[in-house]
Amino acid sequence: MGHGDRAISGIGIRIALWFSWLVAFWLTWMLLVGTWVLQEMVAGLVAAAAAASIAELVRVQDIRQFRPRLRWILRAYRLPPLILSDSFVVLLALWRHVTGKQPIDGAFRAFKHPVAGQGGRAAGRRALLNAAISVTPNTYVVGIDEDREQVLVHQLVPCPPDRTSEEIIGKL
Amino acid sequence: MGVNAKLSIEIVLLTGAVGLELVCAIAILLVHDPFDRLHFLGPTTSIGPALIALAIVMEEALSTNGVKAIVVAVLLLITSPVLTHATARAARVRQYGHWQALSAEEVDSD
Amino acid sequence: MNVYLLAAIVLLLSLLPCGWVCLRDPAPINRLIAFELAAVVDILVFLLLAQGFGRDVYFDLAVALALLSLAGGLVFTHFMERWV
Repeated sequence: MGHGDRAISGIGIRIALWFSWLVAFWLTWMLLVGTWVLQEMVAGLVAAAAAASIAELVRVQDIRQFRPRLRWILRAYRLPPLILSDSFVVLLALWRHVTGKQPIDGAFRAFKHPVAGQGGRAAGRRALLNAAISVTPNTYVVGIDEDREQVLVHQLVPCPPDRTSEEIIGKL
Repeated sequence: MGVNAKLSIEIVLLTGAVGLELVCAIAILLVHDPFDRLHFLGPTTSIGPALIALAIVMEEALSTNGVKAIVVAVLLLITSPVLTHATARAARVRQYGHWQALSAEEVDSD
Repeated sequence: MNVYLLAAIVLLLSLLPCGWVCLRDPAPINRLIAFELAAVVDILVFLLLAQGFGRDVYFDLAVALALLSLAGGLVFTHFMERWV
């Protein structure tokens, strides 16, 4: 492929992505206004075109890479039961704290987990790991140390230290 | 479903949501450590909004209003972990000057 | 008065503990946490008022506030970490 051909395919990809943004934003506009009149459709197109241009400008800056695998996102189905059970744990801990049975004593835990790596895939993996752990009420991520391949979390009701990784990562 | 049955379910959902939000707000007063307090943002941004959105969808079905209620609940669910993480990290940096783990906090060693 | 308006009124009581912590706690980070919870309560109050009054436009307020509260919270944490 010659230099001119690469330039054309690059422009082609950018135009295709711009149109993808345009369609997504326009559909979002029409969903939010909830009425299919011509004025709203035109206004939505104008707004979507502006938003698509800005989105594409930000994308080509390559400021942050984020390329998760689809199967990582599909594992989100495991989260709702975890959120419910953790909410129960947190509220039970509050009850025990209020009634004087056991004061709340949250703790930090740092466990090893393969989190190093450069590029969109590794960044996507770290971001989704952070989100999946932090969405459950009993645990949230304080930091992910790529150099030491360590995840620092805080737990309201701490699990036994030797079972931290299993309790947190094992459920996801 | 009869009107009364639907209304009863909506009342149950709203009572659960409002009760949960009240309990978590009171928890902010009763628990003093900032890292412990942050945990009570979790139920308020996941279960509370979901119950309210469900009540609104029962009333409105999947009309524009029902969809917007779902959008709000999903937005809160997605953005809450980000904000919790950022707040915890800021609190840790203020406390220790850095957020990295102390040796006493490490649970496994090579 | 309907169940949604009643729920909104009761939910507004949640702002009292948040306001107390915002006003009285000596640590800025604790005040930020209370502020973040107050923002969530406000979003839910808007949802309930929208349904209670039957005003479609109030739903848009809730959506906008949900997005803006994230941005505002992140700005506060950024300053908390480095400058305040």
